[in-house]
Amino acid sequence: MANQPRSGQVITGFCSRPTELAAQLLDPREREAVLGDLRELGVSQSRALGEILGLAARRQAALWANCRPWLTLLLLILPLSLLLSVKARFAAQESGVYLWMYANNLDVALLGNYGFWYELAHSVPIVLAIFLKLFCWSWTAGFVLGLIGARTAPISRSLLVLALVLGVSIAAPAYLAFYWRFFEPTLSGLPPAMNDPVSAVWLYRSLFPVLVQGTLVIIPSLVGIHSGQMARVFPKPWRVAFRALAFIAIAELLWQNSFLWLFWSPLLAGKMAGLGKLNMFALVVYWPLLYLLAMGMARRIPVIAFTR
Amino acid sequence: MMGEFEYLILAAAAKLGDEAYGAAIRMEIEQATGEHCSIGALYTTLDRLEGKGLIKTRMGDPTPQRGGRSKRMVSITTEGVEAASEFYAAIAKLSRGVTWQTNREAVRS
Repeated sequence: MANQPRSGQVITGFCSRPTELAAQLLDPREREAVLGDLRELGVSQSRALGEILGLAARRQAALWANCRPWLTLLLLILPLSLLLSVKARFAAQESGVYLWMYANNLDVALLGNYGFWYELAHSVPIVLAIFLKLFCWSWTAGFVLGLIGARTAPISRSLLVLALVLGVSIAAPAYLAFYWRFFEPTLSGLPPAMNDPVSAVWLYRSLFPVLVQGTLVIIPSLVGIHSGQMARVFPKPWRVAFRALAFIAIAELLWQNSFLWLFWSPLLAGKMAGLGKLNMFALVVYWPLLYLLAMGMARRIPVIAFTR
Repeated sequence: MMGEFEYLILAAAAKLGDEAYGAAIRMEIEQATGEHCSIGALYTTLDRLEGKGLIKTRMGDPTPQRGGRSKRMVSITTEGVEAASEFYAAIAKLSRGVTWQTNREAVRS
């Protein structure tokens, strides 16, 4: 016989941490009812965990039975992962050159040189801007995913992380190797081997791109997914505005990074790179900073109710 | 036509009346069938039945027995009663004259 009813029995300490965490995969109302039922039925913690995961899996499977999550995967997750991975790899190469200049070639005698400090003051903002933009683009990508599909977010999150891991390890190196070999010399006239001393160091060639991908792409995009889920409570005009900002920011990702135009003709890419300098929307890229700042302030001041 | 598990849930909910909610329905089904009824199967089927308009659900009051958590109360709609009656009638009609003991012996021989 299956479980006997245990009406009236009070089971204390039912919800273990793993069970509580697994229950986060369910909608709040359903979580409430399911945890209550399992407690009332007196099932063991391990079985409760299995039952909750089973329900969450059924819920996700049902959601992925229609075309929308698949379209999200094909039209958003995969392209954005590739773009962000390539951009992160490129950012790691760019910033790696500066790091190599200062970390691997530091001479104490240079510290007394005015030119050294002048150049350092010039380089640090460049590197910070590279990292800040990458953070903002990654957060924006996650935000869009969270905003359009809150219920599929658990799977989207896993797929995004998987795509980004594959992106940094396989797709981006292959893309950039192809780009440096065939396109960059055509566009800029620079020799492809100009940064070989930097890439010869394992730290800059292998470890640094992974660190950049982890800290400035994967973590911000996961935070962005969470923020996007939370933003679904905003009224429709706000959500439309967020989507518009996100669209412009992602468009800027393409616009400002000519190396992402690999499959466009080099001639067209050259012309558009010139137009990019006149771009008026460049500041929109930083909209996540304003958003996060506003949300942080709203949490401190309960009077500000954006949802009204 | 509804599925047999959907019918089991409707029958359990009808039997429980105002006390029909997730855990109670699950216990009724497990006692009747002797089979384990997973929360996943129960809640996804409840959603399906609600989507078909055969039941209505609402969140009940929290109780100490459940650690202060609310119940998902279930009530059968008129459409649900009709659908369950039709299903039961079809099973009864189809089963009329069938003796499973005889059939089991026929299969053995």
